[in-house]
Amino acid sequence: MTKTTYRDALRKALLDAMAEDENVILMGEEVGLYGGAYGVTKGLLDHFGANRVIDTPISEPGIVGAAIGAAMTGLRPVAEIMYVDFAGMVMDQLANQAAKSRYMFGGQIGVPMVLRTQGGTGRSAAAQHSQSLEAWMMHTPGLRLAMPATVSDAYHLLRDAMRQPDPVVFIEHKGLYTLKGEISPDPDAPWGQPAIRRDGRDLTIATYSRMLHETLTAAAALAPEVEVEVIDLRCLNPLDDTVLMESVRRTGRCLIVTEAVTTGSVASEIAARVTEQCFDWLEEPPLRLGGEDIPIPVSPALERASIPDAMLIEEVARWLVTREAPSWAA
Amino acid sequence: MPLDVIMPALGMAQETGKLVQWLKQPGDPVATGDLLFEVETDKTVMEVEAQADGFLTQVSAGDGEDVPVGQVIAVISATADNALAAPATPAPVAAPESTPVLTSAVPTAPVAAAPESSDGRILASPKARRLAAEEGLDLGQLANAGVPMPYHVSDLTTLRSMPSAAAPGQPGIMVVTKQITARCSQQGARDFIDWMQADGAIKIPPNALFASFAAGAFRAATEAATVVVHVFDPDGDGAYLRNPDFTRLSVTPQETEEDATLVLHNLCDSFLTSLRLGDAGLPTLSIGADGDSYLMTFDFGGDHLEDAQAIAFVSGLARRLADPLHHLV
Repeated sequence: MTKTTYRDALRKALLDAMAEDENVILMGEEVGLYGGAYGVTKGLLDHFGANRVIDTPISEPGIVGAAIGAAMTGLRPVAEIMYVDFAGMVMDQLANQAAKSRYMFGGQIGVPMVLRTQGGTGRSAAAQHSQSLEAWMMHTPGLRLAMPATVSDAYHLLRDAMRQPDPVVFIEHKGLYTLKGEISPDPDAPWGQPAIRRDGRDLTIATYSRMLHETLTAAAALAPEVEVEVIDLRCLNPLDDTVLMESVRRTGRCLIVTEAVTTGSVASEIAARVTEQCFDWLEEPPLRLGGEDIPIPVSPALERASIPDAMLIEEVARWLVTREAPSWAA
Repeated sequence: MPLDVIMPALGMAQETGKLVQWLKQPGDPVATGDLLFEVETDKTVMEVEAQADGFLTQVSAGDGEDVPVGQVIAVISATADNALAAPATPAPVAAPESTPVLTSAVPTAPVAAAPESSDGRILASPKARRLAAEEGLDLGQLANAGVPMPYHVSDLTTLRSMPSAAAPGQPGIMVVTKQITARCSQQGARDFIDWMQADGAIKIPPNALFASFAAGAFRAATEAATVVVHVFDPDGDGAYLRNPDFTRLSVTPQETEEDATLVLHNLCDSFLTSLRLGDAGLPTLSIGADGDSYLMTFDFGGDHLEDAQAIAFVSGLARRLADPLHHLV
């Protein structure tokens, strides 16, 4: 099997879906002529023409509103918002229109659309272009939410997202577009289910998106002293957490690693569920390891320091299992 | 409420601790957390803290003394009266040859975890709490032994190795609280096996002799109609033998699905001398080899058999092993 990139896997998902279903359309700022801010839609305008790959004005509420209308009237739009940070602009469309319509119209009208966007740090893009705002989406019933960490998931999760009857927010990571890997013939797990990326007996680490890779690096460094089970959540809504809970019951310890700020986060939600469902199996409280509760700094050094990395994950994981403080904390 | 001060178990296989020195004198006021005494184990010297406020009284072990784990060595009382009372617990006596001795494996006074008398809650992981509850283990014992909190599942290994101090009459939990040890020469049994081999070309299978003699002695002591012996040796999976004393020694006894009456650990071909695995709360006998002697250790609870029955059982077994012809008549 040939290796491809996260970016090309996303493009292939769009290409395959558009070839299969002429109702699939793309819309967003610079998705056509320019090929997308991160190059995901490059070449698709030539392939499918301007009726199906639509460059829009710079108006995020307009893009999402138009996509909602298109979805209601039978198309399968994939809208793109360049940065998840612009969610503030589109939250009314998302939370009050897209998420509510199927419920409020008694199932007569759904909004089967995908909103592609990207988030996270790593490009020194500063406080308004580096956030991880998945918790806003997860907090809104009616929205589905997927966050691929691997090349194969970039393809399969996007294909799955385009098959859902509900609006799906699909958050890519700006630090992963050049990630290389293979697209496996089948998804690593069904839609809505996590995938175990590494087996271990001492500690379960739940994570998603780019932090999966930092976590896997840490897990490799910890072995064989500490054997970490690494669980990639993949989808945050729906989230069938059976695999996660089974893992935590085996290991008795759970660490949740995210790039998003820690307070009121996805990590907080997972920690609460683990406490509720695994209390009698826990050796330690579930621990959240997330970003600092600060605006993301523009300085590359400070930006890196504001989120977890493999070394910090390794130290916290070791502490959670052995209660031995890392050297810098002793 | 007075709180017993006991010699803590600081290691998994520790039987005694050396009281290096008292850090408080009899009659001294003590507060929770005060250092009470120093204890030396095979590895280290540790300081033990007071678990209650009060006065140090009834000190029964002196500096430099070796004290069995679990023995009461002082009491923290509300008043300084009886500061120098006589020792409350006699030291266990070594078992003389062939003579069963009844010793209590737990302190005479129950060392309940009385949370109101220590200064607070027992800190333990939810998992450790659940497993301890399922196994009928009392985390308070760890606290009383000075094992630092919070407790995790790994601490349950230590707890399981400690003498049980569960409250008497606690429903659903069988507690092995009593122990008898005995010793007899191996010569009689060896001569008997050789004689069977030479005279009748009868090869006695491993374990059969022990199972048969134990079942016979058990039946004689308790008048049980059926005796099912669950026989283990350290390498084997174990077998349930029904009435092995009714089976000729040349024949492997019949295996059964019935519940065991008695657990028998044959340790003779191993380096082990005795073990206590809490086999579902059943009376448990281990037979180990010690030089030219068999060393028998019998653990049982008051709800299994009377003290007199247990003594009769171990005595009878030792007599059979020492002179196998006893068994045949």
